[in-house]
Amino acid sequence: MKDTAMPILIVEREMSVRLFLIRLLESNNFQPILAENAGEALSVIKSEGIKLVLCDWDSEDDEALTLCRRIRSEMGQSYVYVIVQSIQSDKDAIITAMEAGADDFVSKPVNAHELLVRIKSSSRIIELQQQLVSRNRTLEFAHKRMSDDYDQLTTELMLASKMQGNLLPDPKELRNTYATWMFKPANFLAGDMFDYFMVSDNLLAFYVIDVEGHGITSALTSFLVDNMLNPSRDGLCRRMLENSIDIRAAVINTVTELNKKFSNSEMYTRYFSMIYGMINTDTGRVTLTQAGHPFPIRYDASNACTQMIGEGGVPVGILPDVTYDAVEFELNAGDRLYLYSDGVTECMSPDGKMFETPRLQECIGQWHATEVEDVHTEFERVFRRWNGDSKPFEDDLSLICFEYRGTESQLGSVKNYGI
Amino acid sequence: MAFETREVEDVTVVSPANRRLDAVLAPKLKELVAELVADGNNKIVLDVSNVEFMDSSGLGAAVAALKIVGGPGDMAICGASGLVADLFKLTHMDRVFTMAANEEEAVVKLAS
Repeated sequence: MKDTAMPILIVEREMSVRLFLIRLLESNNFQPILAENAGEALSVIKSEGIKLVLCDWDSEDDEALTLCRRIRSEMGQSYVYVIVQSIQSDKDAIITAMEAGADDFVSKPVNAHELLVRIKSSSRIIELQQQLVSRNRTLEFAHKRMSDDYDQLTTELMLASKMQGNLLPDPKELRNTYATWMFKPANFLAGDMFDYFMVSDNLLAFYVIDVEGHGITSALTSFLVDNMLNPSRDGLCRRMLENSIDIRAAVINTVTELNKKFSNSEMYTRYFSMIYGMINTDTGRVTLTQAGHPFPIRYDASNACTQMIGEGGVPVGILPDVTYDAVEFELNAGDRLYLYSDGVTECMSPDGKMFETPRLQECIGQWHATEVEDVHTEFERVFRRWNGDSKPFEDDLSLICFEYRGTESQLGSVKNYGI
Repeated sequence: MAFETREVEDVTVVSPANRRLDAVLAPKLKELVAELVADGNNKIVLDVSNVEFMDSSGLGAAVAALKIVGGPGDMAICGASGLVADLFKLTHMDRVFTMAANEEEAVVKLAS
């Protein structure tokens, strides 16, 4: 029982019973409040926050039943416990009162002890009900806060995803070379990232990375790498080109430098696979370092065949002191070079089949029939269909294609200086 | 249990119970190897003969385990085939780890 006396509303016409009830309640530390009729009772219940009503059911009229019904229909969440007292004590009367909304039934003449016991039991129920209401309120509040936070997080992620999309280069012609791509993040944010840009009059630098896992940490790592390489920011590509004896050394030194940064620092928790390289747009000569990223595929236009490039290599940031190497080969006019993340070859069909490298090679052969400016629509079509159209991809997919359009004819030989 | 472990001589062989060694199992593998080493088991074989698919997180966990154990003299990978073997070759991790065809060969290699 609470410290302050619990108010109990008495709706009783008979004076003697009223006085009896007032005395009984007062001597047991309750606070009796009186109401003449159902209408007054309802307004007192609302204004005083009454939780317990003792209501007389006269055999003459059904006002008590009306009060019960109105309490049930008008009091909503705030539960009011109603004990009906009546001289009618047969089963039918009890059922009628209960059906109207009464919680308990006491036959008249009222036995003081019995009534007190019933009031005490009702106050236990009222207390429990109040605890439930207050817990519900707390839960509703917490749920609202969580769903607000979740909505905000989703909005933030969508914005970040847009930003990440904006960091990607447009498909475009870069001095005799056309670059295009397909990019499908598994979540809002991807761990895959790529870029291409001219680092000198005739050198097109490019990189693709795939950070372990996907999501926020992976995306942040890919932002960091982009920030280091991009010529408009840290410009590691250009610095290494200026400080190295030749292109091959510049490519190797750039990846080696990244590996030093990412494997020695406590701050970086994710490693990534990468291909970094350059295309000499005058000659079609490509120099690239493969650091754990899937094997680039060259499409040889004159012989209409594909060729896997490279010997593999250690991903960046997984081990310190790694010695990297580079592969060099020529692209002839019309040849294409494809770079892709493992999300492409490991893309699952709805019936659980992986896309795999041979199928990619086959597609690359077919894609040659499509102009390079339009070929990204073919990429989309093939992978959407493979994935079963609507479902999200399990891993980030990035597929980049360069077409070399050199004017002079070059030798198609592949020299491999890799390990 | 995500992993089964068994003792062969002074070597502990760890086998993933799952056919995928990916981001779900990766942190558990790291944790398990750290526990084994803390308990004094410092020769570990990771038996991947039942693993059909391993992603970059799985590979990252294997390398983290290698660093915890100490070096290639104390940790071997056995039973890599298919996509798992391809991943080790692509990333040159087959040159970093002691690779063995099966458990017996791995145990012999770590003993020598």
